[in-house]
Amino acid sequence: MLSWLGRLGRVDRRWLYLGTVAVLLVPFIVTVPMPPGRASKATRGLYDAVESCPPEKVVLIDSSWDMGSQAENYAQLECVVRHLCDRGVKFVVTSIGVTPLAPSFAEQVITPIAERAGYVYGRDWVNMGYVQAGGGAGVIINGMCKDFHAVRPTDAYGRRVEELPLLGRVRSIDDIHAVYCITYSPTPEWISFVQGQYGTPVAFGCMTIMGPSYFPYLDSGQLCGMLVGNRGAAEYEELVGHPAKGTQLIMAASFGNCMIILAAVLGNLGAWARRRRERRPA
Amino acid sequence: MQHADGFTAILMAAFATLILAFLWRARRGRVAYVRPIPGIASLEEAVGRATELGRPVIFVMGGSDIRDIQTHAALSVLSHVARLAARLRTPFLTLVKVANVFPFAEEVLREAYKAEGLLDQFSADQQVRFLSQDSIVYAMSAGRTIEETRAGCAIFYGTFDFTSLLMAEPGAQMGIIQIAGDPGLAQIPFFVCTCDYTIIGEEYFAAGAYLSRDPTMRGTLVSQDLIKVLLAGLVLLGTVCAQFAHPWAQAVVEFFMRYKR
Amino acid sequence: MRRAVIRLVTFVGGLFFLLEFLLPERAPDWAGGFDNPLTPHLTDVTNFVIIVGTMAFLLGPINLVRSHVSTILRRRKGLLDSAAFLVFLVLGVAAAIQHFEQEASLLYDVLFYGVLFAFGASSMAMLSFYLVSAAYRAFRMSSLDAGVMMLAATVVLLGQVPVGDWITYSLPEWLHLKTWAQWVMDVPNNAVQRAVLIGACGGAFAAGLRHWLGLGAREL
Repeated sequence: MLSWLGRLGRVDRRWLYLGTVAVLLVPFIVTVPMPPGRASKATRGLYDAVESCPPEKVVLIDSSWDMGSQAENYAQLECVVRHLCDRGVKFVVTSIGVTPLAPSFAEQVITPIAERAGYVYGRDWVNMGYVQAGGGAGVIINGMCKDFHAVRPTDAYGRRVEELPLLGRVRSIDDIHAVYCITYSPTPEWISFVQGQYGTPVAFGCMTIMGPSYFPYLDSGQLCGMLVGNRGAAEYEELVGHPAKGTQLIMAASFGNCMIILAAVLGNLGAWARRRRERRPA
Repeated sequence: MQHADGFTAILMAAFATLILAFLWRARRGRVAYVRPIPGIASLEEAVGRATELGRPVIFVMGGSDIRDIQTHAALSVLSHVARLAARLRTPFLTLVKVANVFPFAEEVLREAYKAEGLLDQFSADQQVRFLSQDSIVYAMSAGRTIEETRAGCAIFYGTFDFTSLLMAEPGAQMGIIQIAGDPGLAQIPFFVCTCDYTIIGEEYFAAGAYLSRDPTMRGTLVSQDLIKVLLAGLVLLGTVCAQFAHPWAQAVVEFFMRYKR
Repeated sequence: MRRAVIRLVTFVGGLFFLLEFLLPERAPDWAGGFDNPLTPHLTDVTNFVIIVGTMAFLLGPINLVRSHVSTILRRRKGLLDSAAFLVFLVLGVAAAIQHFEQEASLLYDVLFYGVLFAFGASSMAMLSFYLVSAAYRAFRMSSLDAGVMMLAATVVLLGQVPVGDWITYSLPEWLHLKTWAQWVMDVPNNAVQRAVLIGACGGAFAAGLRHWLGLGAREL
């Protein structure tokens, strides 16, 4: 028995990789229902911020992610944009630093949803494109809060802000109801320069592994809400009543987490059995 | 905050005074005891192990800009480790992610070899490599470099992002000694799983001063601890006072709030 | 002499930013009521820093090209990899120029959407495999501390996903894995994050002061 258990501690890692692939494929082959659950306080905070947006204001979305964090950030952007479109809230998208590929990824998500909702580019939503955060994101953010047009004179396609009707009424932070920053690890400078100075609600959408770093800000009220990984996106989709990518991917993440726990258990069993055998008298 | 409020200015002045006071004390020969920090002390052990194996030391720098203090702290450690490797005639390779850090890393390495009198052994092209500013490409390249060169030890020092496991796992699977230093907490769980020693939080910034063995530099390490004590004391004072409706307690809270704009 | 110049420039540069931050936006009336004299120059100085930093931008790619050309010319190990790098470098530059001049570019689409995107997503997917092998190799309950850590990790791992909801669905809410996972995030995690942040900030301040005064820049 001990020798058999000891073998568990010497499993070739390629078998573990194969097991991981098999386990992650299950939710894509078999429809696994997600149990109904209450959304967390973090998710609900962002939901409430979007729900309370007045018609004369816009939501600013900083979407700065690419293929690296697409697995989690895609769903986080999709569910919120869908909610904004359903409520008729206008929004401005920007990408500050991180990756120049971000605007194209944001377009991939937003364009089909906006078209289905009858949103017109320039009137209901605008993509300001990528801006290099050479002097630090704080410089750009601070500038946008004071004079949006001076810092972002053109959109992602080179059109001047004067040609875009929506931007005619977005001149400073006073015209922005809330900021939603989605990237693998949002910069806390949004909190310092926006929430701290002007009191505008700021929410983050981040990868699961970065979530614990931002819970202190949520606890202190500096963040109004946060979507942590696919769980946050799945909870948000449940709140808006439209299960989508987040709900699909959280099931894969579930099985993946179980695989990690199983690997840890196997490793510990093998190590325990080996220690017991070594302690046995010959 | 764009400009310091009164409270911030007072705190900064207090911290600077503490640091300079301990510096002055150390210069006069009164150096406090600094406990050995396992992660930092292990840097020499790691280089020694690589020397015994006859394999190179790989130093992987993080993704922060040259304007960030984290990068300067990493360059301080790079300097010490490079000098040690040069002294022991161990092959040494530095991997750089950010383009504007590259010339500094090259200069640090050149100075390290020069200080050991081995400038002729230094080859900038071979020993300092810029890989990529893209996180994923950098991590994959770093992991591949560790595998291909059959490194004797790998040192990850800087701010790393979600790709930390990608670059540290190949070395862990090879069974080489690995040391990681990151001032933040987000990637530490991955480094703990894959590395033999980890240096976190304030130890990251203390490493340069600790390794220098200069008593005046070590004196400033004590001031770091006192800064922590001061901040913890303020947090405790505020927490206790906020619990009570007593006029004195409220007066303390208002005293501090008066300086905050 | 060189070191003295570096230290002087570092000190003066640091002094500018420090004074700009410490001095208020506007002096109080009893002090004259004048505006901060350094703030109007902050943008120019920051732009100067960015421009100088951008000059170093090309050094990295130049080093890459030199390193790989050297590998090819000296027929060192990895010759094919270096050749592939140079080929893709040229193709990438060509694709970017073509994309800049005409919006529709097949080469750009193939290289970026077909190769780079797929490579990036695949590399990230490798994280899941590495996580499993790291868990198998390193998660050992060799002491009480490690056992408590494993328990917390299991609670958080399961509490973050629907599997945890299924397991404790029929129990009262205070026994749900999700509730316990949220407690671990809200209480011990927040405490540790704040503690490490306070320590790191103190360390960063001390390190910054050392470098500003030229005590920590001996290697440069």
